Amino acid sequence: MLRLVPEWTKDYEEFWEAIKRRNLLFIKLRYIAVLMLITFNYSGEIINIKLSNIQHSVIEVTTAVILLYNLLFHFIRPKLKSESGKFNPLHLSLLQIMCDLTALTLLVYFTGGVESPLLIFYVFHMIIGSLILPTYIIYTIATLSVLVIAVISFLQFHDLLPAHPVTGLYLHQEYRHLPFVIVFLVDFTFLILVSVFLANKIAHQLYKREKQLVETLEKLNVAENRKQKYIMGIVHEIKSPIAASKSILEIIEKGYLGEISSQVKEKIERAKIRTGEALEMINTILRISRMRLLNQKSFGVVNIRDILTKVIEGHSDVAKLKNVNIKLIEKGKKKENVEGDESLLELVFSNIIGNALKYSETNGNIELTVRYGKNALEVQICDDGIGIPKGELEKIFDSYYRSDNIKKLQSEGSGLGLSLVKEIVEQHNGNIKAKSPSPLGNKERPGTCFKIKLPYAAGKFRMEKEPRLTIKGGV
Amino acid sequence: MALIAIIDDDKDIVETTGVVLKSAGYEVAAAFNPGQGYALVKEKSPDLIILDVMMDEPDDGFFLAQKFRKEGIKTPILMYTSISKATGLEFGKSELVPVDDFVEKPISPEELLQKVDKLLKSKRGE
Repeated sequence: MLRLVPEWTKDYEEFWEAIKRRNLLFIKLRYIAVLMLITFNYSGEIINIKLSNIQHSVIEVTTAVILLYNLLFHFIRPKLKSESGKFNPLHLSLLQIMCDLTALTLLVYFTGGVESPLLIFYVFHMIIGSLILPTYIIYTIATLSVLVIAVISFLQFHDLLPAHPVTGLYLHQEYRHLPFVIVFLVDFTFLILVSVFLANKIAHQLYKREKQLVETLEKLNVAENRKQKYIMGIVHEIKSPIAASKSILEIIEKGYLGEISSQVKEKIERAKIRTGEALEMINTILRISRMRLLNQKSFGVVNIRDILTKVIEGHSDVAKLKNVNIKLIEKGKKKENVEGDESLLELVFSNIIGNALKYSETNGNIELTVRYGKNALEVQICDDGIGIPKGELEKIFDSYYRSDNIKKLQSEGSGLGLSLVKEIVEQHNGNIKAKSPSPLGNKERPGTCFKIKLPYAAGKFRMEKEPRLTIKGGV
Repeated sequence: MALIAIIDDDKDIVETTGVVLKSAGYEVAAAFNPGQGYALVKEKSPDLIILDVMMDEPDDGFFLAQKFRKEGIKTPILMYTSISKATGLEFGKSELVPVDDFVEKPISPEELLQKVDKLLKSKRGE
């Protein structure tokens, strides 16, 4: 197959998308051309232009053929795959131009050759061709067009080919008038070649820019990947000492090193919770890095109930300390598995439940309600904590946003959590909503509810559908 | 009583693990790098090996585990990791990672004792 495609476009979806859009545009324009030809064929007489029977028939047949091949193009266009080496959208562009030029040449010949009012349409085709076809191809097409017109004029001038001038357009038979023919041919040649030259130059510059853009974005993504690996390395280094500290606190608290007073035990418990918070944050960062680096590879069947149980278990220390009661309620016929990334979904629930605990007061309540629906399951996490002030509900999913009442309450928290939670849920083709006050709340403690809906079959991860050329920003 | 070898370059982890295991009545021997660990296992043939991933060492924990298996040492291996399920980088039980179970740091004494007990029981059962 003819190679029309520059090498760098191989994985560049946007290039193909542009070609596909242009092909569709040409197809739509061609329907207009068909209408214009019909108008030309039948309304010329209004301004005293007379077409012969042959001319009428030729225009009719050509118009019908154009309409037919346009319908065909319209039909096959969506089925073409963007692969170089096979018949691809770019080949369709070339085929369209070839068909159009053939039809145009035929119409030009039967409407008077050098006198044809349709000659000007060559220019459009040259400009369009220059924008989408490689230089050597469009120059070949341009030269051929000029030569064909020159040959037709020459043959008609010498009466070697019957002429079909449009009666009523010109006063004299201009095709027999040598100065007119010469001036016309020189003009026409210049018009065509200069159009191609200019359009081609502009198109080339655009392509160059686009190529640079592609390369720059690729470099940025490589740099981002490096950054993520670096973060993973560092965070891992930070994790080791904290994990060791927590392990030590654990054995002290559990009495492995001898009895300790209740006062010490309480402080150790606090230290354990705080190191736990640090570890949770570190794990979040590691998870994000992994998500950015691996671009979602651990996609599988995930049991949501198991995740919830695990997350509740993971937060039991804090819950016990604050005496917060966490309840899990299930509704509907059990269908616990969804498609997704287990560790990311765990991060989602860990984040929401962690927040619920963090913003609950002593003796608070947290209720997890799982509703097993037909196509999706819904997890509602309600608390009777401090709630979210009115007017701030929409903002909580923004990166780095922290609500006013939280800022007053305590200084920890990165504000990264909920935006990440939303991103992950949406990648699973689900959605998340927040509500405050919650049904569990009261006047002093309005509480918050988060509702997460996850379809059983997430389909393809959204991330894969996005154009390849996005910067994968991260932590 | 069963002898358990702990191979980890983090002295605090080795000590903490030691305290927990000794409290349950196990005997403990420790090594602080893969080389020492290899020598320890060869010399004392423990009933169970607790092996850290030790990413910083040139011959890391995975490498050592493979070396043991290649030499026909079938002692159960419990691997300590700090990147595992929590980050989604989960190591499965496979030819490449010839270990019997994982414990994620920070160490929870209950989980550690439960897994040690399970592995020792399965070893006796063979």
